[in-house]
Amino acid sequence: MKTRCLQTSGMTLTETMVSCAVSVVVLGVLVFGLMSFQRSFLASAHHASSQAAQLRLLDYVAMDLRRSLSVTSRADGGVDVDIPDYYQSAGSLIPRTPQLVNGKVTYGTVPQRVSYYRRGQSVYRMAGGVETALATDVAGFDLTFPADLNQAVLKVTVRFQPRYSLSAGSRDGTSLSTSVLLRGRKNAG
Amino acid sequence: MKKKPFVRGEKGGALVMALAFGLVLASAGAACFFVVGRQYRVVHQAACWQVSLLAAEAGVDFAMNEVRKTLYDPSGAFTGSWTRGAGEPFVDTNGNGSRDANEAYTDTNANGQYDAQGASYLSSAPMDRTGEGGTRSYALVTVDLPFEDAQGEPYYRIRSTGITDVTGPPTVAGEKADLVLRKLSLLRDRRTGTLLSRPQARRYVEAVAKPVYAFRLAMMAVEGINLNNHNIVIDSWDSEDPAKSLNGAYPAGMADRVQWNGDIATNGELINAGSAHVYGTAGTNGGSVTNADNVTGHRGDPDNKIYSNFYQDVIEVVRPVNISYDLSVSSVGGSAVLQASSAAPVNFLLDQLRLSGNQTLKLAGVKDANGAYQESYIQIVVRGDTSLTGNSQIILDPGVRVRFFVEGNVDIAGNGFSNPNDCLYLQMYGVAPPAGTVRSMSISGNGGFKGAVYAPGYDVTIVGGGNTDSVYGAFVGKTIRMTGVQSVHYDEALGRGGLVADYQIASWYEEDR
Repeated sequence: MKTRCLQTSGMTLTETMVSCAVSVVVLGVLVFGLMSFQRSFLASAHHASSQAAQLRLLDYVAMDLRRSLSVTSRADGGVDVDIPDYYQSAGSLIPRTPQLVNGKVTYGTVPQRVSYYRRGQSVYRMAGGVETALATDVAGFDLTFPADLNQAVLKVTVRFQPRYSLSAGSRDGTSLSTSVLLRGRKNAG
Repeated sequence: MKKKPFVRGEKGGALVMALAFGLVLASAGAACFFVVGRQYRVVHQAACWQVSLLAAEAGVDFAMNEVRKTLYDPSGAFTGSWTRGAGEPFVDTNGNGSRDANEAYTDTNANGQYDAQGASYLSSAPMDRTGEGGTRSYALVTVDLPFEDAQGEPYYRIRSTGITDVTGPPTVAGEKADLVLRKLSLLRDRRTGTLLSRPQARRYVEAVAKPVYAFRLAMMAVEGINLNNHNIVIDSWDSEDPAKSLNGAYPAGMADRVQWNGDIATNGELINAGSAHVYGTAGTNGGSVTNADNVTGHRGDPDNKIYSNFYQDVIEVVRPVNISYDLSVSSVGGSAVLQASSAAPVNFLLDQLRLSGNQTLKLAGVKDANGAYQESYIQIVVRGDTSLTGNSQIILDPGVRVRFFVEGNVDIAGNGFSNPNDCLYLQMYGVAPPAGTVRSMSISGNGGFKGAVYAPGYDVTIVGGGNTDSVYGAFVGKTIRMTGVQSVHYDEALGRGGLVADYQIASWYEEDR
């Protein structure tokens, strides 16, 4: 009767080294692939969130510009927007009843100021003394005022810093623009 | 006995490895799916929020259409899907469901009387449409009348709520700033707390429409304007502004008071300015202004004196309806007196109005106990032709406001009108002629016409006879032609009174709470 020899189930040194080499190659490829996947994933996620931030910023600006009574540019490249004092009080959902004052439709007595400006890589909205960061990683926030103010159209462009590569700034980010008709200002004309 | 080799450990290692790889891939896939799904919801919720603004804007347009109907189809305005708001609250002491004369009520609009119907016009889901992803959007609109202007013309407040069903589940997406901006109602209506069957995006827009008066320009023609003399002068003043008038009259020779708002414009494509001195702007509807070397533009704004994007809606004039006439006079063919009233206008329906020689038509005013003239009103409808020749004249007493509605041809010569009041007191409307018919209206400058003409179906001619001739007021015609040498001085106060020709949005506010 033969006895069982456990040593025969092991691998030779050559087999071990070959298997280790293959494993290293496979794991290396896997790690490299995962890192690339992660980098691509993060870049895509940043791109998507940047576009969402672009959309949010332009929606905020466009809404305030449409209802603005007056628009003035700021020294820091931002814009000050005066909007009607529409609500009866802070936090109230009840609007004021409009009045006709000197031939113009008026809400309240003093317009409310909303400001947009860029500081560092963020764009802020200041309303009622509260500053809110609407977007980060902003590479450009530009407002183009019309040469003919009677057109009452203002173009807003926002551009983000991309994270597509390790060398920042090697590629332009996506620019998003909107042209807004200043309805309140035009109508109050 | 032969035993099988021991291989359990090798099988277990392969399974663990497979599970580990599967877990890694599943985790990566789940993370990817989570992030992509979140961005997907952000984009779609933002898109639905945008669509709800379009719905709200459509609601405003829908209401503006009804507001404009009040001008040319009053009986058809705010009908169909529109319902009138509830009347003023009252105490129904006898429980019969309606207010009796002795029952108390709350005079909410402070007009001193009980209003059984409210001023608000409501419309339910007037524009139901299917949007992106099968979502539904619609608008709820209310219209009320918050106030009137100095002429008693109403302003309309339009409150439109644009509602869009949001695609996907009622899940919060985006950052805090997104939520603060878009304020989606996911499970319940944010304002009323009503349980929703689907998440919704809502936008609230309030617009106020103001009346636009017909006499906004010195001259406005539907088809074209022809000024054919370089000595013609068109400028303006404001009879209601002491700094822009001489005790309410045209400040002749006072350069600092005379204004440069004598604007002329046409819905057509051609103005021949004839090298006339137009102290104001000249506008066409995609056309050109010829011989415009003496068109100045508004004072201090020479760069914008000519423009080509003018258009103004023209409301057809109809004979006044639902009024009672004083039938004691059916025609004026010689000297006559028509009495005005200080209350409601006295209405006369004449077959024709013809004066010649030294005949006069006196429009008599009303005096108070001290002998001073009061404001008084009169309306005269002339179904046939109107003509003044020789030295004949129509004389207005102080304080008399007269509206002529003419249906035939008009020739105002002789001594024309004697109007001691402002231009707004004399208004002449040319009723729209039958299709294919052209009417003419001729006004001579030596009569010193001082009033406003609105006759978009008439060929209007302003006839001059010398350098000193002047007419004061504003003119709207199918075509306008000036002959001879004379001046037209536009009273800017006319732009704030007279016929309402249109409504336009004067205020726009998008709510953000």
